[in-house]
Amino acid sequence: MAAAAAEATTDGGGKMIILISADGKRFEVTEAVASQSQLISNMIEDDCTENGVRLPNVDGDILTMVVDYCNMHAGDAAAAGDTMKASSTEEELKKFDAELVQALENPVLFKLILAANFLNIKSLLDMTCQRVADMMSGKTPEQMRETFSIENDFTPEEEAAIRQENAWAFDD
Amino acid sequence: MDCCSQLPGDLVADILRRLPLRSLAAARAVCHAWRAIVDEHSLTTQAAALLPNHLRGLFVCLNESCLHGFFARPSPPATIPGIDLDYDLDDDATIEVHCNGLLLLDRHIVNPATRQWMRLPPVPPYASLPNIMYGDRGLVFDPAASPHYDVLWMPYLILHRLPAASLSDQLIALSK
Repeated sequence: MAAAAAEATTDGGGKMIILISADGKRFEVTEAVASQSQLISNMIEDDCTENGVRLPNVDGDILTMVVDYCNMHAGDAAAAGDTMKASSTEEELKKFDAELVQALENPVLFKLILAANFLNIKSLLDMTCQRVADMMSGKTPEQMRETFSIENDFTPEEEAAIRQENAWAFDD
Repeated sequence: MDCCSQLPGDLVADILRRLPLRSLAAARAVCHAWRAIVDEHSLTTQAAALLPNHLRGLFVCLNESCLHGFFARPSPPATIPGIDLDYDLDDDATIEVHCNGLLLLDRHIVNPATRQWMRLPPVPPYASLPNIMYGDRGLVFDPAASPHYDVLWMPYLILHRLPAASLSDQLIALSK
């Protein structure tokens, strides 16, 4: 069944690929959608996607987001051919991207970064890393620790030394 | 649970390098792991090279030594108790050298931005160079890299008949 599905084609003639998450969920996507992942694009070139692509590092709920993202952005790459996909305008994409990352809890956001890095989807990695950077920007060290639940492992002396080293950055 | 520790260092570096310099410095003070990543990738020095420095004021120096002055917002800068931070310029004080906002004038090191100043210690006597009165001074300072500075003193060798001694003997570094 899996093999048959992997060989299935869309009406448009594009080959379909099956992605399998760490917890066994299966996602059927077109080659154009999947090849936004450089990792999968390489596998397609090497013809090793026939029995589905196992992604042992990526959970089903994260892969759902990745697939949504790639479906949405497939229009960029594949352009004209599919009028349905190509109809998502640049503005819609921006809105979709913003909503995707803004709603995420930190642990999910970090998992999405790891998935984008593993799958090598540059635009998604870029967007998620930027989101974390935006969350840090303008914050004090203490606020950053709170935001990301990081424990302060500096001694008071070390902390004083760091403030001294980068004194130009700490206006009181 | 610390969610950042899931990310490998390269990815954290990828995030940190997007920060403005000031936030990057704050991130450096969050925990050991982040400080190591910032230092390992030289992120602060890379970013410092790209960013305009924060402008607190402007020190203007004209050839006429009586015409220099420091222009800044009127808000009083932070002061350190017990230390008189304001340096009164003599009317005839001249700026010998300056480097990244630090001035050497009238035998004092002056930072107009922080209003801190310090008198240079006397030049230590050198047995091989008796009675040297004249020399050029140089100043090395990069506030983005370190709060420390170096003052170099290079005596005028031409006034003295010296054997071809190594120059480094005569470079006197006065460190803060």
